[in-house]
Amino acid sequence: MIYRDAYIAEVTKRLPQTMREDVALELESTIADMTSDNPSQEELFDALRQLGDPVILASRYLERPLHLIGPALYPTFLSILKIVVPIALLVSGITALLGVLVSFSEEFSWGQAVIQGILQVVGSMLAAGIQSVFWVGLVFALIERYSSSRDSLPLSKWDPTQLKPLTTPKRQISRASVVGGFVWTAIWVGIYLNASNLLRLYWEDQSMPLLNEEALRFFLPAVIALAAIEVGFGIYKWVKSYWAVPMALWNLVFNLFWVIGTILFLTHPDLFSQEALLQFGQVLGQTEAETESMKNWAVWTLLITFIVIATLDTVEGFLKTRTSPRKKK
Amino acid sequence: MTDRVSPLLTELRRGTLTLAVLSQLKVPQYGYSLVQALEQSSVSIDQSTLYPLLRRLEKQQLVTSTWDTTESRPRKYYVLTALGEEVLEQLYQEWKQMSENLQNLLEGGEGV
Repeated sequence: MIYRDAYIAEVTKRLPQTMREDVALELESTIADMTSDNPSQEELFDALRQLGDPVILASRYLERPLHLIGPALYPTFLSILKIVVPIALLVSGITALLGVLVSFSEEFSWGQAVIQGILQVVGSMLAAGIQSVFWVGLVFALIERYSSSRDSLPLSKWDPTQLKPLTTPKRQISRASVVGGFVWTAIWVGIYLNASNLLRLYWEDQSMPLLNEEALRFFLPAVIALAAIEVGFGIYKWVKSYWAVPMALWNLVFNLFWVIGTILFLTHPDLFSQEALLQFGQVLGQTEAETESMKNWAVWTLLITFIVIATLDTVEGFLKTRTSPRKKK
Repeated sequence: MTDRVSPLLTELRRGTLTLAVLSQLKVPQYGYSLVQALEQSSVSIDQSTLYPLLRRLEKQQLVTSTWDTTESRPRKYYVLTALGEEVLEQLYQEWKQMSENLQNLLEGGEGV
């Protein structure tokens, strides 16, 4: 009976709470039906063999896959990983290395500096690798869960009007552009993570970070989320491989995220280090008010640039959905 | 040889499974009695397919289930609903037509 209960537990632990008791009871009575009153182990095993792998039985009860990424998506998953991971490693390694070189100071001995530098570079590469594998995996798991069941829906109505015109070169999303997108994500995330080392104010032979550590840390979760969305959207483009209205809508949402994120980031009151601004004013021989207005001017220029780019990208997305083969003639 | 045939056979049987199960549920049956009833007619069904299938049919309101606790051990009985009977009848008619058509195809071979 130990084995019987173990088998039932293997099945029910994969089912939602509401089903468990009923399924357990039914399996119990079924197994009892299949065997004699006091079954030998061999007899019990025979019955369990007929019921089969508990994982498969559970997945049939659930009517959905118990795997994260199935065979249909696995090759795409691998090919995306083969692109994303090296990019993440390379860019995070380079930005971390730049950060180390820039922040090099005479305080430590050469040996210490080298060891610390190596640790920093390897550490950030490791983190970038783990993050990228995780987010790509998550996106594929979501695709697996929410899109495959659709195809097997019985009696789904189909009409010729649903036929998609064959894709023209313009609508087609080149893999190179998706890869370019991944590179871009890796670069800006890399710069962000090393902002205190890379974005600095230099004067004479001194330098100091331009942005506030705390503000950067505050935005970090949002930055990671945005990067994840960007990578996820890239994968979505890769899988779909041509522009369509839903994709253009997602592109709109995605650009909104970008714009809102950028606005919140750039208008954060403590984004710029006060010391750096003061120093900047001194170097240029400006008053505080002049520096402030210059900063505001820079922020607004950046903001407007971002909004214009995002708008253009969104509009382009919609335009690409409209180019039909017939018009191209 | 058999290795190539068995997946095809599974595929061929899969579609008829629902019909076979529904046909036996005009009277209440519990899981194992259903297996035996099917086996008596040489219809073999993978048990790991049968129990989930019964639940799915219940969700589609083609069968209902009740626990019978009067016997030595509790058993879950399944029986057709009115809707289930209707669906069974339709499937049955369809099946008769289909097997007749196939028979013609397989034995005629004239391509009239």
